[in-house]
Amino acid sequence: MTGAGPETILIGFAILLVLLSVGMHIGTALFATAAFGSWWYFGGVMFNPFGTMMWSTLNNFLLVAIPLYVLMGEILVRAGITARMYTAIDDWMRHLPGGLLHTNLAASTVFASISGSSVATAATIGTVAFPAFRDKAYAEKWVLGTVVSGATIGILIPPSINLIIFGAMTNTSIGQLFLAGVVPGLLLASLFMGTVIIASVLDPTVSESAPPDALAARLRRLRDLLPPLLIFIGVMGSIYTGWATPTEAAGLGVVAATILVALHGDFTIRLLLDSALSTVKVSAMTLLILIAAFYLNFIVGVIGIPALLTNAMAGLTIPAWQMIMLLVVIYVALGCFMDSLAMMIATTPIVFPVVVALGYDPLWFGVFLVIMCEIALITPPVGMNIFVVQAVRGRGSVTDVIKGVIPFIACFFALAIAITAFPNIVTWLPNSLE
Amino acid sequence: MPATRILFTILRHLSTFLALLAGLSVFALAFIIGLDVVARRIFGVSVQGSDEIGGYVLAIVASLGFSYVLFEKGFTRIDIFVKRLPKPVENAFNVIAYVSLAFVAIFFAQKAVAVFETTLQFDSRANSPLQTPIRYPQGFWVVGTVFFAICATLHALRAVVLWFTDVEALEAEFGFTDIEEEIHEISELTSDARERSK
Amino acid sequence: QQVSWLSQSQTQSAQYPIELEAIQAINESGINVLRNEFQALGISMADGLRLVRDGTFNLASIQVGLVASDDPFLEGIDLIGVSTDMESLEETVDAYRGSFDARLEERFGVKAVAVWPFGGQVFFCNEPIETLDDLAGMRVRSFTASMSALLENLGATPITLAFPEVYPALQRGVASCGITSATSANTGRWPEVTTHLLPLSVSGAIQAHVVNLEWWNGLPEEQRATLEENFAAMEEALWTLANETSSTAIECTTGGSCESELYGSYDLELVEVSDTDMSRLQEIASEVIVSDWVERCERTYPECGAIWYDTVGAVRGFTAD
Ligand code: NA
Ligand code: NA
Repeated sequence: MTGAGPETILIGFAILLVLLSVGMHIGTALFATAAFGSWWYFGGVMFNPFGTMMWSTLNNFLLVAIPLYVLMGEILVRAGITARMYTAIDDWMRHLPGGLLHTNLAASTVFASISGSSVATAATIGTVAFPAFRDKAYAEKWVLGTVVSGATIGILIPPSINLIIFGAMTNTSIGQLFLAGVVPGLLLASLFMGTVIIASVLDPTVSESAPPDALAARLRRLRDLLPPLLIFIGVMGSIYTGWATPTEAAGLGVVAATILVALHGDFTIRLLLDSALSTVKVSAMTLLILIAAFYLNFIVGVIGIPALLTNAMAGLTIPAWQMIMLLVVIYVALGCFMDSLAMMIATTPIVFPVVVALGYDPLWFGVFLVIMCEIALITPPVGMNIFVVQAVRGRGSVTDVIKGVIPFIACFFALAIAITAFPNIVTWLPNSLE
Repeated sequence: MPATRILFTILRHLSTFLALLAGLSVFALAFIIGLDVVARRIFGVSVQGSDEIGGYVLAIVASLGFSYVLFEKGFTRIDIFVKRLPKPVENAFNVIAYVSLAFVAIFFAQKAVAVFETTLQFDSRANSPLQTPIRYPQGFWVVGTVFFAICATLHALRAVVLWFTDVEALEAEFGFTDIEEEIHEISELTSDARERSK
Repeated sequence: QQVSWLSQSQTQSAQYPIELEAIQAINESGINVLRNEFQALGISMADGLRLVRDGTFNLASIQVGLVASDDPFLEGIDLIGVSTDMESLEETVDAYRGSFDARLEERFGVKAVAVWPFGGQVFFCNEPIETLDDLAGMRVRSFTASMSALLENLGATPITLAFPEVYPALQRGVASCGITSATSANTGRWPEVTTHLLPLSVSGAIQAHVVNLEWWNGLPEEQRATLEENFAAMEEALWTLANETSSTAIECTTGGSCESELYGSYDLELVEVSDTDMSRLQEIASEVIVSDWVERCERTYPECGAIWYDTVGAVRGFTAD
């Protein structure tokens, strides 16, 4: 066959980007790109397997975790657990230099441990955070920046829908991937907080800090941290102790969330129906993209692009770390314009074999890719978290949000460099728990 | 066009109903899994096949959910470039987006029906302890994708008709989700939450 | 001429070099092979038969136990507990091969050009076991209906897990045992997370390379001959591999001498298979597995039971009651 060469990849990406930028639905754009490649190289024959592929994608037990984790998050948010959690975290954060900004970051980090999606984290933390800043002297762009960037931690600290999809696509254990995300996630949160502290100390207009409430009240409100804590321990604990697989753990998470909410007396039929509907909305939207993406993966494979690239790489003599830095540049460029999930799914089949051939652990690459997705979520012009936070804020210009994000982008580069120089940051936890 | 409006209202309610069924099946699945894990650990018995049922639930969520997402305008589109173009061009791209989505939906449905026919022909059973006849879960899948194809085609037709007859309605119904609308949705969610948190 | 070839063997698997050798020989004969892997394309192995049937690929290697969801008759070539060593497996396959081929051609429009085993499917456990009876109360990973039936009859709890989750499941005790070939277990690093190996083979994990019949019949005579020659050589090499490597893999896995580039060296405890276990397995096979299977199979193919007892039953000593 087929005469596929490096230009095939470029043409494919060009088609995809054009279709996305003229406002086609993301699933349609991915599917149309795949269909074009299929028709160009094979005529009709590679359309045949689409039906069986669609059915087996929809039957993938690993992906069942997606609606389960979404449902768990929906129940907790709708029951007000997130709002109470925010107040409880604020009790212990507001006196730091940076004040409420740290509350945003810490609340995002805690919420990340129960949410599988970054956009959900952004919407949730945004809605509970913005009222807290009313009538206070904070630089608005910092408020926006901490919410937008903090929310990205949702896909690095487990559970993570991105890591589930990566595991399903590359046959990597999702339990191990979850463990691999923990340390980089906490490191990222610390980098964010460090940035806020430095900025607040250098420039007093960034933030104010307030004296804490009475200790008794703060201690009493600590119990509002229990639900997310219990659920995180339940989900990760059941995976780690061998009670459950990662998908089963998601089911346990839903059960635990339901019980906690019911114990608090907040479980209503309306809450159940609303959560069920939003779960379907989010999951079906993601799955349409996934079906198109799995087909694109298939077409890219039969055209022979991964083999082509791996062979080309074998001929190169530049060091592995330079390759990785090149990938960072490519991903940041792609991430400016592509939806993060679409970017991850469209590039994994091409890049994964190359990176593994360079000697990097699949777990490492999974985490690396999620970090690239996080950058994509917060870089203009196309950055879902920016859009969501602007929508929640509901006034002013999106430019304010973009300005707020800039200081935090540096943290992502620092993290990418750190895990490239010290891959143990990623692999230490999964390896040491073996 | 009251007839069109009535048709779309009926389809919207139907899609919401199907989505609700799918969502409640996720909830039920969680409890089946919970039961399975506890029974396996504590009593040493396994509710065979909760993983298999999970796969079917996923297929049901997707296929019964597609049309609901369509009515809710939940399929993501990137507006950043199109919004800067002159209105007539933006309108054209909106029509193209919905027409192409309809083509994709029809293709999905066609392929799903083909797989379903093979399954019927072979009387295929799941390769699992449950030995589920695959035609039942695939039946939901086929119904969902065909219904999605019908809804998407009607949306596309309506977009084309409005393009020629009523450009303002086209913008309102097929343009990018108004930010006001999203805020309304999200603030409804949080006001709920905040009320409860008091 | 070209052949689109869908393969399930990956670089690290023991079968890979043999298949690659066949592909090179075919390439040299002037037929261009385009090889793809199920895993890389994200295709489920259960769909292999359908993909050759509809002409997406000219050839695919399929796992008979998995595609049997479209026709239980195919599973009859290697029912759980029927052939407990390689020698009897070979007899079984020889006896059934004719009906197997005929069924594939008639029902699916495909032809099996090579039929071969992965090798004995044996038990790997992370808890001490001495006999089959010790499996009672344990959670064992199962991947087919017949295997679950066997496990339930032994008092074990069959659980189903996606393949990438088996290693962590054994590691953390979600499952206590898994069943696979010694070869796959060793290359899949299972010995890192298990302690005991019970080398009682419950099946041979029969695989087949199948081609689309219409495409096959459209080939020029001499090309078909060349291909047939290469497939026959590949089939033989794969049988030899299954015979030899199973014992090498078991040696390597259980602390024996291990001079192999493919296998890692591990020190699992090798449990001795008792005669009681052998007869226990045969008993469950004849009383439960075969009759269950005949019942399932006859739903779509009424002659199923008669054919099986005439062929496999005759060579392995199973009779219809
Ligand atoms: Na998370
Ligand atoms: Na971006």
